[in-house]
Amino acid sequence: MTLPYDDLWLSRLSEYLDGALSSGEQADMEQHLEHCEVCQTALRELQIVVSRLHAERDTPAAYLPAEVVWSRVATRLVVPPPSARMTAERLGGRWSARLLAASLLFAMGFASGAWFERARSTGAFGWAGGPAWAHVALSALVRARQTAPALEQSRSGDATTDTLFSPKDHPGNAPGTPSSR
Amino acid sequence: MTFPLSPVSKLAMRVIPGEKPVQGRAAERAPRTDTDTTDAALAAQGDVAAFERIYRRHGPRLFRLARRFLGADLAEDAVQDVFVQAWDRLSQFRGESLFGSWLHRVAINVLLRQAITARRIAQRMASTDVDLLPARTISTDTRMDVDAALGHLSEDLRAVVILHDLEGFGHREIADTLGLSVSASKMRLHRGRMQLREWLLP
Repeated sequence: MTLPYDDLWLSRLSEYLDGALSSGEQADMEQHLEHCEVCQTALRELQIVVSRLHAERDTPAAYLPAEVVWSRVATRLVVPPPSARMTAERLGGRWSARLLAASLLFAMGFASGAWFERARSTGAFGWAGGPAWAHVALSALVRARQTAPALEQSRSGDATTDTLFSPKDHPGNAPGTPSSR
Repeated sequence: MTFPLSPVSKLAMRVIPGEKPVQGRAAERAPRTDTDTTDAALAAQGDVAAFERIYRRHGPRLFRLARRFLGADLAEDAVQDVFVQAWDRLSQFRGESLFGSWLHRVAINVLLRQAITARRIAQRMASTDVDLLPARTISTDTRMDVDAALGHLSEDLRAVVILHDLEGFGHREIADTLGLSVSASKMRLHRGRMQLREWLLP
């Protein structure tokens, strides 16, 4: 919003009074004040107001019934200060969470190791323990490990030990037998 | 207008590495920096005796501020609230400013909130029952009473007038304390003074 010309000067009278205008602005204001009665009146009134306010500035501090007020304050204080307690609790909580996470990780690692060791010692992952996805994944790994030498052998022309594509597993593909497909 | 600084205040203006130097009335408002800082640290650990020393040093000054914001009727309760709030927030004081300035800022926030609440209560009571007076009573004979005249201003204008003309803050400090721009602070000061003419002129 743009102020009218006179209001613009009026709005800066306090700054003029406080000596907060630049030297150029101050000179312009003084030039304006020479012929503007509205601003002259407002300035005089503002000077009275400001002098009244400034006179209050150095009045001694009001009487405070210190003992009475302090006794009331003291009864309302939570010891230790809530913010400090919150900080301690937050820190304590953070370390507790870390300890719990570490414990869980350790337990999971230990259980996984034990389970894997048991599965490995049994030779086959046909037992019912463990999650289904782990069973499938480990079975696939074992099978791939078993088939890798057979594939190598089949590529080199010796397929006598091929277990994956043996006629036994796939009778329909056996020589001399009609294919089911 | 300039204000002479006491030797202790000049000491308080020393530049601490990593911290902004504190100048002007802010330094003057908190002359016992080291004592305050030590007591604030102790109080933050739960030392009530240290907090009581802080109360005794700053209580009268904040009581005067509360009277200006809220009037005599509400000032005592307001000072209690200021110190309880300060106690609750002690861990937020990080020593980046003078403790007195920090406490002053806490006080202004509390007092401003209470001034707004008091006005709302007064408006509600005035609208329902004319016999129940507002929290801050303003007599008709208030032309000589600055505190009463301040009660006629809205909280926004009152806060700036009190901080600038009675507490001696600069516009930058006011802007920082109240979350305003410097130009808004200047505008509110001028509007407040203009309105006060009605109550303070002879």
